[in-house]
Amino acid sequence: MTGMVATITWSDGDTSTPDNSALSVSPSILEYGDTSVTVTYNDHNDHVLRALQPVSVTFAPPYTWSKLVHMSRLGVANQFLDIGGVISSTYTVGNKEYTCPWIVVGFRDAELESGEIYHNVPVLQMQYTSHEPIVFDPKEEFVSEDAIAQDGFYYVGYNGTNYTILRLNAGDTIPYGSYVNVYKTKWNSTNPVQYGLNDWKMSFMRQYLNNSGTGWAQLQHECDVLPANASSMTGFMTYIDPEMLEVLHPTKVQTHQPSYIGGGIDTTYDIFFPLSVSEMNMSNASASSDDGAPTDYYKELLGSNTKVSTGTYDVLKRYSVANTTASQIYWNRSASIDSLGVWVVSSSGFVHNHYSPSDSLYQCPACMLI
Amino acid sequence: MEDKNVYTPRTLSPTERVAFDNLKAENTELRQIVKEQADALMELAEIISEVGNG
Repeated sequence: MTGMVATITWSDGDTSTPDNSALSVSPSILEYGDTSVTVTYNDHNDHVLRALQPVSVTFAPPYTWSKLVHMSRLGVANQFLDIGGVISSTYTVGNKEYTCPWIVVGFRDAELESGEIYHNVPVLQMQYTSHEPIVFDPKEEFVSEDAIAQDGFYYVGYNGTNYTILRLNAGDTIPYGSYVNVYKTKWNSTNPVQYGLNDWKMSFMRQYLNNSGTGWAQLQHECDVLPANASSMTGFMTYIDPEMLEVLHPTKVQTHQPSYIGGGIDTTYDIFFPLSVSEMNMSNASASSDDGAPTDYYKELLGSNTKVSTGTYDVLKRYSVANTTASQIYWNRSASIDSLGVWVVSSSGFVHNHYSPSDSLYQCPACMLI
Repeated sequence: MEDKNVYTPRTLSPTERVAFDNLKAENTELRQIVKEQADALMELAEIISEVGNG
């Protein structure tokens, strides 16, 4: 790899480098996943004089995207990068290119879909918000056409003012005449119909952040409804620097479900994901502590090694990548676990549970550099 | 092709950097306001000049 220097330390502590022609290095080219190289030194009679059990590997600047991910794969990125360091990148909308720095907010284990685990992997977060807002998930107003109630589904009656879960058993006649609309849903709650689903795994924002081009929005369950503007929007990855995209992979993300869905912990594999309340070093009774560990950057930002209560923090304000003087409200990943809503940070830095996942807000996503 | 360095080590603490960004945003906004006011004054000056010449 261009610019990489392997520093040889012999087993007796000597760091002198002998005549290169006498060195044998295995492997000669480091691949992803290699954590050591073995160097042997033979004399001219081909006798092994010293066999090394090295190894320290030094990554010298310039740091390209490929070199950054290489050090990340070797588990040594935390030796070369700082919390609060910045990786420069671009964000391109049409023919307009914006500066888009990514901040190193932490280091942690990253698990790929294959089950491979890497250590000390940088967690990056976009410094600015996206240029356009999007729903977390639209109102799931899936109009029922069932003649009789189906097993495994719930029905929500809307009378023009209120939404009500209808108490129906499988086979019961659905009282369409009593309501303006009757919606069919998978959950025993009016929330998904009335406000949108507040579950990261099934959210359209997850699809938006992890796709490029059109066609990113796909129905995910029987009563799902596409966002109204899905066909006119292109996925978030459309705008991201191709050099950055080339090195990134989906990694394991864990997110607590809202209670009406089951209250378990979802596992997803995502390239881009919003940070959780916990990962931003905050706590609230309605935000799960299972949504990832606090990151060091947010510990510093909020001035506490332990989680602080959600509130208003000026330091959490984020500006639009397309207008760096306009602070924007941006989605967090955590659901309000006992209720409707998703956590957000407002344009004034107010961290709160935003009741309506169907509102269009901005994103300030994170990714693992692996 | 020369390898492009994309990494900048931390120079300010996270809070200092955010404070800097906020200030930068406010300054940019302020500069925009000053520019708009300057443009308005120029327009006014042109009108006064035209009236004076007329």
